[in-house]
Amino acid sequence: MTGIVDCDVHPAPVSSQVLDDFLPFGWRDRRQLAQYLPQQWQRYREALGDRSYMGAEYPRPTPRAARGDSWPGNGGPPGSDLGLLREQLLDAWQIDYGVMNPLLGAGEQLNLEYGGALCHAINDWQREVWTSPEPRLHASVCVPFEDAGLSVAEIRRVAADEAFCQVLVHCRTQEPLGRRKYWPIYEAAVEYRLPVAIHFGGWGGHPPTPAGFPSFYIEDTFSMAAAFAAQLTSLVFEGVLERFPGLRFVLIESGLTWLPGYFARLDRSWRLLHDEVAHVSRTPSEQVRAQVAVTTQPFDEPGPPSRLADFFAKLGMDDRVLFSTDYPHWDFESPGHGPLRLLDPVRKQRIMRDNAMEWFRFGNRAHG
Amino acid sequence: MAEIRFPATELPEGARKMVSVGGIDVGVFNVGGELFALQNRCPHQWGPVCEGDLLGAMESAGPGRYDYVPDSYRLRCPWHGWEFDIKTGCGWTDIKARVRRFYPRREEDEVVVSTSPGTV
Repeated sequence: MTGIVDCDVHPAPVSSQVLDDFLPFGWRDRRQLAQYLPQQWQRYREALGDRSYMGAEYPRPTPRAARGDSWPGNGGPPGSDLGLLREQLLDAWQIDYGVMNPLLGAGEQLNLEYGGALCHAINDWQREVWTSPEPRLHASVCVPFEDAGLSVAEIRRVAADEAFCQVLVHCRTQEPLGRRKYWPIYEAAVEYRLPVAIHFGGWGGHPPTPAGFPSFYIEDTFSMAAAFAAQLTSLVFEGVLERFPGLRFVLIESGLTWLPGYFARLDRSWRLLHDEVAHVSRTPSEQVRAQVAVTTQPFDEPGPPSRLADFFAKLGMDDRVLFSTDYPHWDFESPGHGPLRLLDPVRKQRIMRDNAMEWFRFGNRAHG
Repeated sequence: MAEIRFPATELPEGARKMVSVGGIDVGVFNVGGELFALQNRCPHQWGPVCEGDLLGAMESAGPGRYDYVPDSYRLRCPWHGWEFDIKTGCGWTDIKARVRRFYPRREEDEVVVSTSPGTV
């Protein structure tokens, strides 16, 4: 096997001030440049900071949810130092391509204009600080996804740059992602031939479980699979996958062992209740298998090679499973010694590299 | 059987030292004057377990009880937080998971770390 593609890498700014340099005009910290320029949005950020829904964060098991050995020696947070990221990830495992998913809260800002400006800043920061010096890394187009107009504008601003390989939204949104308010984002993604990545996390103003607010982070994180299932269900039954046949989604950090049982129930429900959604003409699981990819981490380690083979046969997505580590987070999956080490060589080659090469058209990204 | 030795002054109380014993990376620990040694490889995903924190144990006598045992015998892997008993290498997160144990002893002003519990 030659090389690996890691579809979930998390960069972080060295400090919150770093992003200020990338804020668009009117938002930028101008004080260091000239005292007489407008300060309104920089003052907003300084005075009020980021503002999402209350209660959005359950405490993680480790500081910044990071691997204990991923803190750079320079005092910055995990994922903020390109040298250490190369040493612990790209070089350590001969990774050919890494897909960055910055989780910096921009998509959930209640002030949508500020969220849009923050996305603008994050996207420029990815390009200048990460993908320019390190071409193995690719960027995600961060968008303020609760407002389609602002999101489409940001996609149009950067998507022609081949450093960007997908549009990034979060799993917990204000409304299910199949709803019409999100469709313009999908139209733009199709236009630029970019998949839409749905990453673990986010906060739409609802309890993290469908049964209400739990006591523990373990319940919060475990219930994310239910949120992913709700998003897939919405995308199928709202007709999004059929309406936009060129649209592709990738579930990141969703886990995947829940999918075979989910598919069975999804298809059965559709056969019983298809009148209500008569616009859905193809079997739901077929649609998902055709247009949705899923990353490997966190993999639930179903044991010996025979059980792995059984699982992948039931999943039926051999060409749609993409390897990911989640570096530098606490549940990082080692490319060499994680549960997938026991895969048969053919599947391993597809999952560790080839599927992602095809999915993102790495090395062959001409738009048009 | 393989052995290495180094001056005891290199492992004061509360310190740890990384060594190679028969080609295997091993962490040697001095916890309150007691010596322990484990292979520096977590059985889960081969993380550098001996670079992790030494902690007391969070235990529970039942639902709603939080009992902290304030010793320093739990070694927590820096990657995924799997915890192991520094004395035996036995896992707490997964009792089937075990870090390979090595055998340190003092000989005059040296520490000797051996692959085998048998002494001279």
